[in-house]
Amino acid sequence: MSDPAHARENLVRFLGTIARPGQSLDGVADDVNLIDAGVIDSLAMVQIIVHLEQGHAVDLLAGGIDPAELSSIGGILRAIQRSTP
Amino acid sequence: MIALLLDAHERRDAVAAVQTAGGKAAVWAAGAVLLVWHDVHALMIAAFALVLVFPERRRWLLMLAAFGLIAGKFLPNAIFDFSAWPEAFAGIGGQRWAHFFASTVIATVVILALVAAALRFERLPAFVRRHPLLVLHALLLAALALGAVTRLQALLLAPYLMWRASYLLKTAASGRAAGTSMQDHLFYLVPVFGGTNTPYGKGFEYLDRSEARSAEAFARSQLAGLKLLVLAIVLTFLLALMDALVHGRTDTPLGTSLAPWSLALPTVADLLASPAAQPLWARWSSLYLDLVHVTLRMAIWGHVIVGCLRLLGFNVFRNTYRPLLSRSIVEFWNRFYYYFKELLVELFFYPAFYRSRWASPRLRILIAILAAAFAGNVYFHLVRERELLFGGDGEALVSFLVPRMIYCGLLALGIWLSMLRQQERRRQGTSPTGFAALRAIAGVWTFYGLIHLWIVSPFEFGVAQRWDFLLSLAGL
Repeated sequence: MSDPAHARENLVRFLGTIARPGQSLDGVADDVNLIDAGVIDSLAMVQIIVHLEQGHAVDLLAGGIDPAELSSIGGILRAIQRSTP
Repeated sequence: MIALLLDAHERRDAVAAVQTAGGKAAVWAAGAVLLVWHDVHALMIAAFALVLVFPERRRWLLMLAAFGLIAGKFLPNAIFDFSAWPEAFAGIGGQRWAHFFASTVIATVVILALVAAALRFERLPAFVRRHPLLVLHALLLAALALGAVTRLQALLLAPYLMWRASYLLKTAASGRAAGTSMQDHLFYLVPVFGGTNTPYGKGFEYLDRSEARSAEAFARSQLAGLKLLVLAIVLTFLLALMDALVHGRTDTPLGTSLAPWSLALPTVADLLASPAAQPLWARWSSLYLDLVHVTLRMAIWGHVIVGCLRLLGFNVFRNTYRPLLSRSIVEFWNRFYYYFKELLVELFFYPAFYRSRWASPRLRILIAILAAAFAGNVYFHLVRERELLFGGDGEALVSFLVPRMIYCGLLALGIWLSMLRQQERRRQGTSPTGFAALRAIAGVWTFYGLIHLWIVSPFEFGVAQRWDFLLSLAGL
């Protein structure tokens, strides 16, 4: 995996493409629940899952990762980190 | 004044004022008046007062209220009929009191056992740990069947408990119930803030994240709650006005006084019941107006429950948030009945999506949406109709199921197409504006109006009746 800052930057760029219209990820802390904060809706989670599976070879089922863990920037980064050999 | 109320929870001076003793008293008085107006349970008003004074004891107080609700649910009605006490006491024989005690004890034991099982999840048998929701639903369906036979009310609570307990076991299975106790779960399993079979506020995890941790957050939450309760009154008035002016209902004083100006348009249910010749514009108007009507009713109901939750310090999302302004089918689904959609997404959509890695992304989304909007939706409503499910009337069951399945199938297909379209738009960074936005909103109204006619009550309206009405909209 690339360095943490770069990985975060890439992730935020991706999340920007699935955010609700008018919502920004600028200044959103890593532990903020993006669904509770209204940045993304719960159905957008499928795009996060596909992104992780296809872009980072993350196997959520094998890794025992709950979708709820993927609702924050920090949670997604941890899921990527756990799946990286 | 209206602007002040709308953004009171954002204003520092208002939030600070609510934290003073006088402010708390004023909030309770205003809240109590609004709750009485909305005919909310007296226990909620009492719990609200106590939580205001002892916010750090919130969950414990709400747990006590839960026990009160359980006992109150099974009390013989005659106990509240003070004028007829002598006769009533004679009438309330030992059998009815025995039924009250049996029901209260069974309901309490079942609920406590569920929480105990969740808190000791790691010690449950391996099969239960692997399939907690499957086991839960099998047990509760068995209880429901037994309740239908024995008429023991405690068992008939199964559909009410089913979805709340699903959230509980989901939390337990993910390990996030560790370190919690009875009081952290009982308050949403038997919520004093109200609800239907759908758990408003979802389960422990979302409520825990939404709970006010400071006096300021509590004050903001309360002001936001008061706003919703006032909004519910405004919407109730609008609904009454619509019933009077559009449909000519005269069963209210407002309806009687406005009768001379009424358009007297039939509702879709009226048109299905008596398919007399109506001009095409009237049929289409009824279709759209029914959608507005059902949205207003949903908003009023949800605003009261979410208003109660916010008064208690749980600043959760609204159940209904401007769905009629949605520009896509999936957006409407998200905004119309949020907590039902969340239930379907968390308990059906995600598990199906997870387990279908073999499929292409598009097919995978379709499978997950069919699991949620079709299978989950049909199952939810089937369990709710216990009389039909266990009544043995196959014909009635089919006439309930078929229109519901058509509705859910069309809904699932619409959501799928809408999601794919939305994904494409977001990739391109475009969204409809101006006239295109209006056209998109009209499309959403038309889609939901057309599918809604398949679930217009009563379910005795057959498929043929509904189909004929659909054809009549095309002038056939």
